Amino acid sequence: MSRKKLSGSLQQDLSVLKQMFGDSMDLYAKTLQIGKVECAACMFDGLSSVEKLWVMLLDRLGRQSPAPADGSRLVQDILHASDLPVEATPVEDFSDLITRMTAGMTVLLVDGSRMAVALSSQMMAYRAVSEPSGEGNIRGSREGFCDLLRVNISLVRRLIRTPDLIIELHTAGDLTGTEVALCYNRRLAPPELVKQVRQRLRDTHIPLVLDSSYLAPFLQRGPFSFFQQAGYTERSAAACAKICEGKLVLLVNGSPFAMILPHFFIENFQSLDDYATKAYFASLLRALKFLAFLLAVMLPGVYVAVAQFSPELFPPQLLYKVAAAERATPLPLFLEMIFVLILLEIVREAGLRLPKPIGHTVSLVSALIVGDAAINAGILSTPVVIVAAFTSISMFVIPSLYEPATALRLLFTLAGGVAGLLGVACMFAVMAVSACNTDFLGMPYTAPLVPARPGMLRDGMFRFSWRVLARRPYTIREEVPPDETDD
Amino acid sequence: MKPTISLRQQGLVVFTALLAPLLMQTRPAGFGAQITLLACLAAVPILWTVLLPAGRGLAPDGPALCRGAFAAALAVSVACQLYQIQRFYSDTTETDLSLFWYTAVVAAAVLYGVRAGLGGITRTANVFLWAGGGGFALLLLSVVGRLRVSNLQVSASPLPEIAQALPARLLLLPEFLLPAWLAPAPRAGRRVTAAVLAGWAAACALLAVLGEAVLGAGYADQSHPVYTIARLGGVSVFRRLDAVHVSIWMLLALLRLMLSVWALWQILDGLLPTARSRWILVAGGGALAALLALCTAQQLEWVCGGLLALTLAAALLPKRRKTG
Repeated sequence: MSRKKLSGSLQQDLSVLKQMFGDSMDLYAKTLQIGKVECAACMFDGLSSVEKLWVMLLDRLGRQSPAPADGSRLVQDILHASDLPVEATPVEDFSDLITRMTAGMTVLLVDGSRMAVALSSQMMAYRAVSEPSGEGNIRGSREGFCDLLRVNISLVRRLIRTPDLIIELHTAGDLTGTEVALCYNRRLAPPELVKQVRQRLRDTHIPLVLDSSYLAPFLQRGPFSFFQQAGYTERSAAACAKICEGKLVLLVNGSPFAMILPHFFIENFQSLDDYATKAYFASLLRALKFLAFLLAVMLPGVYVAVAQFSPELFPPQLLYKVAAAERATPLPLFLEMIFVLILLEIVREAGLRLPKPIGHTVSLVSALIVGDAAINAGILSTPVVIVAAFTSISMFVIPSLYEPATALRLLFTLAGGVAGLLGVACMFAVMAVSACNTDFLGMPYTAPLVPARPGMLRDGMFRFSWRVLARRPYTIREEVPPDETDD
Repeated sequence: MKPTISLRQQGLVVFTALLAPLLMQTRPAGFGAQITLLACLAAVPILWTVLLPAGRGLAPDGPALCRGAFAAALAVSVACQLYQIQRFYSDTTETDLSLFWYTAVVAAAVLYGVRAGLGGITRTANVFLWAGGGGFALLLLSVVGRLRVSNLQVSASPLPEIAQALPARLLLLPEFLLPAWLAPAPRAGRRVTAAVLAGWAAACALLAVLGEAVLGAGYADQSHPVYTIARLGGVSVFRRLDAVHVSIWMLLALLRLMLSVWALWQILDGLLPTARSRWILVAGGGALAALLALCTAQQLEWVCGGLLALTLAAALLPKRRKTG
């Protein structure tokens, strides 16, 4: 954006402004006189309220006496000697002017002054704070982030009421100039982590940023991995919990999803509810989710591998049923499983994109056609459909791992179909290497499980009671790599 | 903020890799648990002493012959491992898997691990060790009903048998030299080597005792002793837990392959830095192919051991003088 300074001439500055925005119909620029000084109120209709401006602000300005003689004095009076809701720092260049106008402020250009005043006259429509559609919780806060950055920042500030919470504002997106807030606890966040993330944000050049996930490839580096090093949450309470662990939270204007850095594998199996229930139950749920993930990823591949290459591993009664079911279908088992998995993905995607009233119809049609008619016609076998359905249900337990699990599930099925249990073992090795080789600025993605640290038991795979956690809360400083002279 | 690999992690990954040949034995042990245990106890200090020069010789400024022989040993070891995995898998699962698909899946997994580097391989070793530990606990649980202390064979005069068993225990494996090569200093390398040797001997002895406690005198004659125990075990209605054990052992074998191939790649990269010098690889590949065609698996293991002995002998040569 242009760093051109304000000239001090009202007409010239207005001319530059209109040239910048062309014939944009929402640009509102009204000239007025305050005392004997020519001014112009500039705003974007829809982001700022003309009524608010005129009723609350300029009416008071008009009654101000004695009127300043020149533009510079008028600006100084408004900034320092009046009780108007103005921004603390004046506007001195066009880049800042555009930033503030697009944030919903009214900028008052004053003839004879190289500085302008930004007035807080924001009134824009935005989605209200409501309960997020995902991340269901039984207990805890029901507030979720909305699309407006300032509101989201206030939600975080309301929950962490200590001076250790730092919120830095950055800009990303060459075409959109999107505001990005970096939130962290300055006592708990590793300084090097903050420094590196801040630098990577500054080095990010991307045409547009409409969601926090757009920044993920620029913030996380390293070789390809099935797993993401960044986590996301819609809940302000979850974001605050991560800040209190020393992690960084990125809020992007226009996105209700906060990005959490770094994100560990084990966090996919944790939820806010874990900390509101008994420790033993929370631990049980985490173990259950982990088992669900393994089932979701490996069950189709293992089933195909065993049924095709080692059917003697089935108990006899199950073997008879599986063999009878497979004999009646035209496709090889391996292709049948791939077909059903792809079909389930198509159904899921269709249900997601369609309007809600029609989405129910998709579920009904797919259940009837795929689940019933195809089996009755002998095109698909019952065990395959059962395995695929069970896999999908298991996946719903950990939605944050849906992307890698979907890809891995297909790969496991392929590996099991071509090489049996050896193929499944090789694919498991690939998955393990992919997870273990991922790290964010030296902190392993598999922390605190691998390498094993005390946090693994305290608040990793299991959770100790709050009495124990309160004595030594888990923070990511435990995962910062030690000096090479250790050991 | 780069991830560091501690000495403990280095030792752990080597120890985990060494579990694979112990679990996937394809030849009879030949001796009972008592002899195996005592032979292992005797072998550890001897091996440690023999391996002392390794750290000095395998350093970047060590004799090129030392590193070259180690690289050749690693190459032969990789070939042995590939053969052993394929043979063990087809023997135990009675699956006729085509050579193409076997090579494809194993190569894909191994090359992915090699590309991840030592950090990724080391952390993966933690996962596989956990899986191995869980598998061993399951194995114990499945055979607890068959364990009999009375099955353990006790020899009154074991010394002659220990002398017969000792050479097999003294067969060098490339993994024994890895701690010395990976460690930043020779002294640290010797400590880790000692820990790895002790762990390897303990695992060897434990498996032998478990095998004999379940199988009795027949343990020494089993081609796949540990697999036989796994095959016999069962928990409730689950009688074929051997498939689970074999899958976990495959993971350990893959880890061993990843580590060997990675080490081989690193050493060759240091020995043959320029494209012109890499013609040696062609000759080496030809020699390896000839060995594979002419030798049995056991002979290949002895070739590997011989190359490692050459490595240790070459480690005593004077270091290279720095030029410039």
